[in-house]
Order: sequence, then structure tokens, then C-alpha cells
Amino acid sequence: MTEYKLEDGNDMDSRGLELYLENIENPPSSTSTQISYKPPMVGTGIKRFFITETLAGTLAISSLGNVFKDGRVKLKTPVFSENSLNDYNNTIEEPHDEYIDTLNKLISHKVNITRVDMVERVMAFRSLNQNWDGYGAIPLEVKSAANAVRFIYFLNDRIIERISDFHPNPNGTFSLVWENEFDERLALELGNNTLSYYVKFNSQDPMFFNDIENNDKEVNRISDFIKAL
Amino acid sequence: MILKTMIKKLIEFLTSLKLFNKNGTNKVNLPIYVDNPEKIVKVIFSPLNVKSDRKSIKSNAYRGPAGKDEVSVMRQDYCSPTFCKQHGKKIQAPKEKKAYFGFGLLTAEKIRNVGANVEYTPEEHNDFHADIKIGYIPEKGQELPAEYKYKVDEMTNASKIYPDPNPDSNEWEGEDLIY
Repeated sequence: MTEYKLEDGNDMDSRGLELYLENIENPPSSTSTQISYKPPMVGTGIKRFFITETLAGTLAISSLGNVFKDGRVKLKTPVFSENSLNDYNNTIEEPHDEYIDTLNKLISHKVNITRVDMVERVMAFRSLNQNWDGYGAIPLEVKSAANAVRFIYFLNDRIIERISDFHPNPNGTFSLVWENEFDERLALELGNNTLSYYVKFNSQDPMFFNDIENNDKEVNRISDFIKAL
Repeated sequence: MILKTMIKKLIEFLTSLKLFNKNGTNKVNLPIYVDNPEKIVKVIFSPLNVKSDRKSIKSNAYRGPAGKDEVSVMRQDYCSPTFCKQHGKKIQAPKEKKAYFGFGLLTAEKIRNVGANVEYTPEEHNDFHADIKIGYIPEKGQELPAEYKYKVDEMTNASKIYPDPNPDSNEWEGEDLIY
């Protein structure tokens, strides 16, 4: 026999729950157990139940909400009110939607430009005229253009898509910029032979890198910085 | 005859003082030192100097040519926006992606705050001309050292952009240039 102790034996729901739990462990179809229900002792402060295992007891408590039906445990049908729906919306639905929106913003990206587009733009800057800015600027140098194309092909597609800005410089070099919404950026300039760049995070002083070789190892390092933006 | 000669000499004398000119500016001797509060205007061209959003400037607007540490600007406290516009339109070349767009505005103080300087360098046709100097002479085909690139970028980001609402007009029709 299983002995249960309750604070208030007059609580029919509590008694029903106790028996319900008992029946979960020993369903009516089992031949080895029987469930019985004995009313609590009236007039005492602490009620104690002694439950024996009889099928009759199981049927007696079925009026508490058809806990058992066809040998299966059945929960009471939940009741929804307008207040509970509002609570659900305010505490679960809306924060959940907001969470999903934030996730989407973090993982989604705006495609600014493709690899092919970038290469075409670099080539287009080669066709700029002398004095293209009115102050003596020269067109993009052939070697700087080649350096830029080589650099672009080392980059991952997602890194290229995140380019914020690019432009030729008056002395014949080429610049690329990656920037996030917090004004943190990596700005890079490619010359005829090497490149330089700086990284600016808001939490620290800018870091400067000069005379960098244009190879996959260095480009991977630069890509890591860009991913951190 | 003598009167004619005297009038002619008077006109030459007044012209040499440059008190009057076609642009209508009241030309006076400018102080050599560019004071911190002075407004410094850079003429901006599109699309080469302007980002795709047309609300911000590319840093190549504040880059000088190879072999020179100088970025041409104007001391706007002593000349009108119309003068600056007319000067800019003289060197525009729309077919070469260099159409006059408007101005980038800084103060001398902002320029000096990033570690650059602005010096008064009047020219034959522009008495209000000045040069921004970053302290490094760029070489042809050689990338700028990252420290100077950062300086130029900070200056660019501090610049306030004034798009011209009517570039085709000969007069500046935009708002007052206030930093």
C-alpha cells in the first residue's frame, strides 16, 4: 500500500491529483495492482489517506473530469479566457517574436556587391583620366589594380558582400572599407606591391598594419577582423 | 589727354589693390594664420567623392595628389558659398564622373584635432585658397601608411556635407554653411 499525507484532505482536486498520479504509475489495465479510494477522516487537522488498489476506486474518481477513459489518462480540458490570452501575448508571443527578429538581423546580411562586380569596378577605375579630381589625380595604377583584383579573389564571398565602400585614390591606389552600424571599421589601401590597413573598434585604440603582403595568410587575418565587426 | 591718362592710372591702381572684382567679393588682406573657428570648405564632386547614399563623403575627397601634401580647400569665412560654387564648377567634368555636387564643411579646429593642419595658400584666381596638410607626402602607387589613412578618414567623417539643391544654377541656393 502507498501512504500519502496531505495538508488539507478536503481539497478534492488535491485528492484527485494524488489518485491521478497513482494511476499513472499503476494503470487500471494492470493485473498486478488495484486502486481504491477511501474518504479522508473528517474532523482531524491533518488528513491521511490509505489507498488500496481496487478498480472500483478508480471508477469513483472518474467524475473528477474523466481522468481515465478507455484505460488512458486524460487531462482536463483547459479553459482559455481573454485575460490569459493577453498574458500569453505579452509574456510569451511578443518577446518570442522580438527574439526571432533580433536573430534574423544578426544572421542576415545585405548584399552590397559581388566578386564580379568588384573586379569590374576596379577595371573601370583604370579608365579614369589624368587629373580626374581637378587637382592632379592619376588613374588607378596597373599594378595597384592587379593587386586589388588578387586581393578580392582571396576574399570569401560573404566578406565581399559586406564591403561598405571602395574608391580610387588620387595617387593611383585603391581603397576598401568595411564598417558596421557602430562606426567600427576596417579600412584598407592597396598599392602597387603591398597594402596597409587599420582596424578601429570602439572598445580600444585603432590598430595599424603597414607593408602587408597580399597573400592568403594575410587576407585570412584581415577577414577575421572583418568578421568581428 | 592728361585727364584720360590720370583716369587710366587710377583704374590700374584700384585694380592692383583688388578691391573690386567680377565676383563681387569684398577682397581684403586675409590673416595668414587660419584661426581655429574658421570654416573650411572642400568642393565635392559626384560620384567619385560621394557615397552611394549621397549623404556622406568618400575619404578620397580629402586626399592630395602624388608628390604633394596638400588638399585644396577655401576659407569660407571670407568668401561666399556662391564664390566657392563657381570655383568648383570651373573644374567639374560630368562626363568623367566628376559633376559638381556640393560642399564638405569643416573647421580649422576639427582639422587640427585629427593631427592635420590647414595653411593659407592664396592663388592667382583664388585669394581664399588654403591647403590641408596631413604631414605625409603620398607617393605614386604607394599606399598611405595606415596611421595617415586613419587621420584622413577621421577628418572625412567629421566633415559635414552640403549637397547643392540646384547644381545647375550659378548661385548657391542651399542653406547657410554652418558647422
